Amino acid sequence: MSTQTILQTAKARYDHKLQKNIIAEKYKSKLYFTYNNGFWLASIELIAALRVEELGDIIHLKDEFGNIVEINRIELLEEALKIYKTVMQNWSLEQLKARQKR
Amino acid sequence: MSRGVLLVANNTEQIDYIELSIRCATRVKQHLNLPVSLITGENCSSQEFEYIINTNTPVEQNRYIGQDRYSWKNFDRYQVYELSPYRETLLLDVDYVINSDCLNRLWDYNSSIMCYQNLLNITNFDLADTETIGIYRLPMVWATVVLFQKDVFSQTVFRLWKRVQDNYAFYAAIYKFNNQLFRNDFALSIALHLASGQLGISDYIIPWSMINVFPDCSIEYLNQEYQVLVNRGNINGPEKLHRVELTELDFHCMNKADLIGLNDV
Repeated sequence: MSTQTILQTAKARYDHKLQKNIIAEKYKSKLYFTYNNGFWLASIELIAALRVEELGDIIHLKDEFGNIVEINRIELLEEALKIYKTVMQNWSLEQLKARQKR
Repeated sequence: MSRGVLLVANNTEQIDYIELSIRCATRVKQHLNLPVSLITGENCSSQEFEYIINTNTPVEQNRYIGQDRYSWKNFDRYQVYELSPYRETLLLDVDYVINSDCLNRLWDYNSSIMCYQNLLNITNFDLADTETIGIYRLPMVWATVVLFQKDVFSQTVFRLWKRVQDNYAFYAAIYKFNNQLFRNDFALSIALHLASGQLGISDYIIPWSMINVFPDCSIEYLNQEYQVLVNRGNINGPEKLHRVELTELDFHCMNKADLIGLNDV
């Protein structure tokens, strides 16, 4: 790293707003996953829909690409919950860490 | 030999693309754990590549930005379909920095071909953008990252990519865009639209955005993070440098001079 770069980096202001957007973009991509040849977004909406027991265990859902996929509701719910919880927790931690930077 | 990453690199006067490709291959192995092969017209014997496929060096094209001349050798990329040794291939630009394993999630979806459409420019993150081509605003896809498996549909796309390249002036007249500089993004976009019967290409779009670091941003690698300096000042005004960090996030770094000098691999 050159002296000039060190000086530039030291003078540069840490852009909290831009960093927050970058972190959001990173974790949004981590919420996508595949299950049974469908592409899904682990979102609150998907989790809420999958918790409707009246739907039964084997159901047909539209994935992110508009494909109708036969899924096991319980399996997809478990997968979506696991990914959602992990990603959101890590997202929250990284946001907190970024807020503390100057 | 069923799945791997393919890079295309040909040196110009300004940029050592072979060096960039070696660095890219190292990152791919680290984050995606996939074999990497190289298509080039240069002499290269790096052990980073599983296969080195020699072709004729493509013709150079030049562009002036201000008084600076930039050159590319980016013709004939459509050949990757035939030349790829893998059944499932991830074609990457050598200046695309792999910094996470998120692209690995796309393999299981089993799509014929996938590429980015939405672009996020790190300078102006508030505006996610889909670029368009010509006055009829054909939605553009980026040829920076192309994931494909060898099947009839993707073969059609690559054959059309060649057809567009060979008849670039014709397609420029049809879609009403400037044909002075050949762009693989334009050729791939038109090919994909034609192959899908002009019925929409949403099935072939990677659902998240491609992050772009433009050449006017400088980049360093410190404490296992990419630090990007962004000038938020006005064009003719004083420099206002802002700093952000890119961790576990893939991005397209157009500042190739800084990219070659990074100590990240």
